[in-house]
Amino acid sequence: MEASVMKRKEVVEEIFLILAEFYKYPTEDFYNNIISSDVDKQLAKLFKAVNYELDTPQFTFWVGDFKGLRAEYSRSFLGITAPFAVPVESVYKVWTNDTSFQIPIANSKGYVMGDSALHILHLFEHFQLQIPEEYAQMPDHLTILLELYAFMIKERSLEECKAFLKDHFDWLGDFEEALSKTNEVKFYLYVVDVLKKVIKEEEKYLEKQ
Amino acid sequence: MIKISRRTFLKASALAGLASSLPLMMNFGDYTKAAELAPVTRIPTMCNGCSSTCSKYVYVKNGRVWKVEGNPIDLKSSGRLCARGHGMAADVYGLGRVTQPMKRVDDNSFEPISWPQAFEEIGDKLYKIINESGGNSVMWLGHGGKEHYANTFLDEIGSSNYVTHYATCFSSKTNVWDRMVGTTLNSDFDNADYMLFVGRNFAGGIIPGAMNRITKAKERGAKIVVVDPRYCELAIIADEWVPIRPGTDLAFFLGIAHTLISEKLYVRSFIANYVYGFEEFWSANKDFTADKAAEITGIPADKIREIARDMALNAPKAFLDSGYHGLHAHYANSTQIAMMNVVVNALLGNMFKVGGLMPGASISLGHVETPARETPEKGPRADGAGVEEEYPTVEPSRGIPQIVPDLIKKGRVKALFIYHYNPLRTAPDPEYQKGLKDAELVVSIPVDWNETSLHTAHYILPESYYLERTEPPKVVSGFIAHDNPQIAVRRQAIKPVHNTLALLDMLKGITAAAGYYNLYPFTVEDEIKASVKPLGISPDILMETGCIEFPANVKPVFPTKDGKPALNTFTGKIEFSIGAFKLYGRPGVATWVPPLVMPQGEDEFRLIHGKQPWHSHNFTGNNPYLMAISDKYNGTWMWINKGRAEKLGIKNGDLVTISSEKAVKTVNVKVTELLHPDCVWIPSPYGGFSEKLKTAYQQGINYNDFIPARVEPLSGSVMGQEVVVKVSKGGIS
Repeated sequence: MEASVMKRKEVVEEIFLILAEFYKYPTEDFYNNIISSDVDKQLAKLFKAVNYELDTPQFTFWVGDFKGLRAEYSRSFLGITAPFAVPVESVYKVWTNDTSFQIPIANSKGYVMGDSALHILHLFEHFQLQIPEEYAQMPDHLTILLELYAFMIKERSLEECKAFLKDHFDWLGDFEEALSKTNEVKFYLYVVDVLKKVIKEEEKYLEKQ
Repeated sequence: MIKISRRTFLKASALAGLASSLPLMMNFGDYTKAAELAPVTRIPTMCNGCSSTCSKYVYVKNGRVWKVEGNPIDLKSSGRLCARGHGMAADVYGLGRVTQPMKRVDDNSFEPISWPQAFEEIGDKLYKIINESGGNSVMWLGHGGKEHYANTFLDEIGSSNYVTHYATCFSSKTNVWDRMVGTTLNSDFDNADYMLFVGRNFAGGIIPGAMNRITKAKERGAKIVVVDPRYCELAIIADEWVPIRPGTDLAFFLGIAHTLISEKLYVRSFIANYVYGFEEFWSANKDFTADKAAEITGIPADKIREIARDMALNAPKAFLDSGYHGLHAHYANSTQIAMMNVVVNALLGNMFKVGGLMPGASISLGHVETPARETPEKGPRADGAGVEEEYPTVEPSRGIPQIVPDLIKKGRVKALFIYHYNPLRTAPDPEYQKGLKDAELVVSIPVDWNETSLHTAHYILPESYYLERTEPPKVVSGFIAHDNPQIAVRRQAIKPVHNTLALLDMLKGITAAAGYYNLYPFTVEDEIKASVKPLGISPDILMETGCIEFPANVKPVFPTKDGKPALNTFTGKIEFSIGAFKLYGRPGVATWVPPLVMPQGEDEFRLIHGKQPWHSHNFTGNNPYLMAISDKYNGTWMWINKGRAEKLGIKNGDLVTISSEKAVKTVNVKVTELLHPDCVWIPSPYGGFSEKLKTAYQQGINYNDFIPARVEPLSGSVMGQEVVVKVSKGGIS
C-alpha cells in the first residue's frame, strides 16, 4: 500500500512537471517530444497509472511547427499583439483583499504580484524552496504553481495539497476565457483544457481521501 | 519509460532554515488576514510620472506599494502629487511592461532571451560596427537624462552622437536663453504682482509646486493673464484669458515690446546697464506697432497696449513666463518667440529681481573619480547640430532627433541605442520614424512595450521601473524661482517585479561584451557617496529623507564682476542681438517671421496640441486610472470652435475626419467657444498603436501623425504646429 502511494505521488509529480513545461518558453527538445507524440503517450500512460478518467491527450494534433509554437507562446503569454493572456494567477484576481491599501489598483484585477503571489512566496519560504530570479516577483506564474504542486504532492500532506489546489487553480476558467480571445491560439487553448481536466481529476482523488 | 525534456525551476533554498515572519498558513484566506497585520515602511524616492520627477514617499507593505504621497520638502511637489504621481505608481504591476530582454526573430515577433545572451549578441554586433564603420556611427537617442552614463560610452568609442528629444519640446528656448542670457531664469511666483503666461499652461503640463505657488499668488491679489488660443486649464484661474490666433505669438510680443519702448515704459537704466543690442533691436522693429500686432494676432491693439502698460506699472514684480513646450519647438518662428521673451522681460527690468525672473538655486554635486582613459577623436555629429555646413546654431548637446531615419539611410548611423524615448509616438510622422529599424543594430531600453520598441528594436532591454531602482542624486531645479538649493535622490522602494535591470548595469554588460572593459568601475552607491561628498552631508541622511534643502544662495542681484555685467554671454550683458545668428547670415535680433502655413479654406484649420493635467504626453496613456479620467471628460476628443463647426455642420460629439498630407484619421469632437476659430486642438497623450499597450491602443489620435519631420534651421525644432488640416463631418468611409 505504502509503495503504491509513493508511486502515485511520483506519477502525479511527473504529470504536473510535464504540464509545467508547456508554460515555459518552448525548447526544441520539448517540441520534439510533442511532435513525436511522446508527450501524448507519456501523459496517457501516467493518467492511466493514477486512474485519471481522461483520454489520451492530442497535443501532436494541435501543435504546428517549432517556430510557430514559439510565436504562439510569445503572442499568447508575452504578447506583442493584443489581446493576450498572461498565465499568472494574480492577474485574474482582485489585487489585494487588504482594505488598507491606498493605491488605485488595490481593488482591481489585471495586475501582477497580488495577494496570491504573496501567499506563494510565503509557501516557498516555509517549504525552503527558491524560484529562479525571473519569477521571483511573479511566483504565481502557472509554471511555478504546477511545479509547486509537483513538489507538494511528494513532500506535503494531502490535506495541504487539497487546500493548494482549491485556492490557487480556481482562476483557470478566466484564464481560458482570456486565452480564447487571443488570435490563433488553438494549441495553448488545448493545453489549458487538458490542464483543467487534470486538476479536476486530482481534486476528485483528493476529495475521496 | 519515455523521457520528456523538461526544466524544473524549483530548487531547495540556499537560505533554508531562516525564520519566517508568519507560521505556515496553507489556507489562502488565513494567510491574507495575517498579512494585513504587517508593518508599513516609508521609503523616499522620486516620481517618474513625468520629467519633473517630484520627490515622493512610497509606503511599502509586504514588499508591495501601499500608498504614495508627495515629499513636502520638494520644490516641485510641495508635498502634493498630481494624478500621474498616484496613477503611474501602480503601473509597476501592470501588464504593459517588458518582462525580460527580448530579441526580434522576425518582423513582428520577439523571443525572450537572457541578459548574458543579450549582452553577448549586442556586444558582438557593436564591436563589428565600430570596427567597420567607426565609433561615430553609433548614436544614443534618448528622452534626456543620465547623460553621464551614455556619454562615458560615447566618449570611449569616439561618438559625438548624443541626441535628446528636446527638439520636439523646447529647444528654441534653451538655444536662445543660453545665447542671450547665458542661463535660464524662472518666474518668481511667490512675489510677482502681475503674471503673463503665453502658450504656457502650468495647470495642464502640471507641476504641483508651481500651481500651488500660482494659486497662492492669486489669493494674495496678483493678476494673472493667460494668452492662448485655447481656454486652457491655467486660464480657468486667470483674471483674463486673451485668445490669440495660433502661430502669431511673436507678433504679440513685438507689439508689447513696441508699446513699452515707444511709450517709454521700459526700464531704461536696466537696458543701459545690462543689455547689448537694444538699438539694433529697436531699429529693426520700430514700425511693428501694437496696431500691426493686432492685425496679425487678432488681439485688439488696445488690449496689447493695456497688457504692456499693466506690466510696466507692476515691474519689476511682473513677468512674461519664459514658457516651455507650446511655443518653443512648434513654429517656424519659435526661435524668435524665445528671443522676444527675453526682450520683453528685459524691457521690464525684471531679471534678477524679486517678483520678476530669478535664477534657480543650484548647488554642485561631486562625481566618482575614475581612471583617465585614452579616447579616440570624435567625428562630426551625424545630425549636423552645431556643424558649420549643416545646422551650425543648433545646440549639439540637444541634437535633432526627428531626422534620425534619414541619417540611417545616409549611412551616418549604423548602431542606435534608444533610451527611455518613444519617437514613433512622440516625434513627427510615425511611418517615417519606422525607418529607425533599418540601422544595423537597434537597441531600445524602455520599461514598457512602446511603439518604438515594438516596431523598430532588434533588441529590447527592459529597464527596471522607477520604483525598482536607485539612481544618483539630482539638483532640483526648473521653472520655479527658489532661493534654497535642493537635491533629491531616487531610491529603490520594491524589488523588481520582472527580470529587468538598471541602465548602469546594462551598460556595464554591453560595453564589457563589446570589449570596453571596466568602463563603469563604480556602483550607484559609489555615485551617491561621491555626489554628496562636497555638500558635507552623509549619503545615509539623503537616503533617509529623499530630498534635502540647503541654505539660500540666490540673491536678487544682476551678476557682475569688477563692477561690470558678468553673465555667461560674450558681452556679459543680456544680448538682444545674437552674434552666432548673424555669423550664419540670419538677423541677430528678433523680427517678424510669419508662420510657415496659414489655414485659408472654410474647412482648413491649424492643428495645435497640448497637454492634459492627468497625462504626460503619450508616456502615461496605458495607465487605466489616468485613462479613466480621459473617459470621464471625453479627454480624447479634438476641440473645434463652435462657429466654425456650425458652418461645417458639425455638432458636439460628432465623429469627424481630419486630414493632412501625412494622414487621414477620425475622431470625436468637442464643439466649444473656448478655442480660437483658426485652429483645432488635439490633446497630446493619445493615438497609441502598440497593441501590447492594451489601454492606450487606438485611443484617440495624435498630432504627430499629421506632420512631416522637418527642422527649424536655427534651433532644430520640429515645428509641430505648422500644419494645416482639413476637417469634415463624419468618419472615413
